Amino acid sequence: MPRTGTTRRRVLSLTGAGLFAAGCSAGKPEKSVPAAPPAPDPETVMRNRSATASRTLLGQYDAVLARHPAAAQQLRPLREAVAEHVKAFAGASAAPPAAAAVSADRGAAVKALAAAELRTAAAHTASLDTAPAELARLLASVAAAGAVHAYLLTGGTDR
Amino acid sequence: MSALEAAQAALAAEHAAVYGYGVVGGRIREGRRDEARQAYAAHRARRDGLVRTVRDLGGTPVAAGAAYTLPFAVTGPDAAVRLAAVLEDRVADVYSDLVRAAGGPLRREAADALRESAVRAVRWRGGGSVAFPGLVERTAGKGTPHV
Repeated sequence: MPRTGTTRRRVLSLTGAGLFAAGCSAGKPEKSVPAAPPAPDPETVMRNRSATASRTLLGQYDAVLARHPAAAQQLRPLREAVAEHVKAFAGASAAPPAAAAVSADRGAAVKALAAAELRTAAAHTASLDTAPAELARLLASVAAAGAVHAYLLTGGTDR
Repeated sequence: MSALEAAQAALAAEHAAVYGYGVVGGRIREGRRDEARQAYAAHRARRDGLVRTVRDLGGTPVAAGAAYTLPFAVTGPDAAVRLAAVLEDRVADVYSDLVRAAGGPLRREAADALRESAVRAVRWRGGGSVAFPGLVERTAGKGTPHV
């Protein structure tokens, strides 16, 4: 009887050691695989962040277009430019995040878009200081496009 | 391109813009004369700022040309407006290079100047924006508002 007990304990401990070893060996590759993600390329991080900012803006355009189809002629070209911006930053295209509620009043909705353009441009401008050279050039251009869009959305066209 | 080279290129473009706006001012119709005057003043201010920048970077500021060849004959008010838009496009192009070459406050200033030129170009044209102002390689042959 006691022998059985010893045997069982040994088995258990062996199993435990086995589990432990298995845990170790499973942990090893895990430790070396994430070695890439822990130090992500800072430029990629910046590009993704900028893409997200522009993608959020894109979602707002889509929401306004869905609510105010009559504004398509005015908004469509600007929306396409913003889509180009997203592509230029990140290449891959994820779905735009859900936009905030759109005003039932077309004028107010377009005004809110202009404000969103300026917010996005400010975010891109803020990234200038830390961006590598070529990305900085792109950020400055996209921020300038945002200022142009805001100008056009706030009556710059009916000169 | 070093920051100094890019600043010199921007300065040369601002010299040309100041010259060009002189031509614009002489042909523009009355209703847009103030706009032209403001743009002229803005480019003079940028030019003077760049003269200081080039000196700060250890260079000798490029001088203005005695005269410039205009991209087309400016015979009337419409051509004057088109010239103003082209001047802004050209300035925007060199400022994007300065953004790339410079860092810190100079990069910010170049980005500000790029933004202002992009807005002025669209205002002169009465619309028709491009997706990437100042980036020649992204706008060439993409149905940009040519003049």
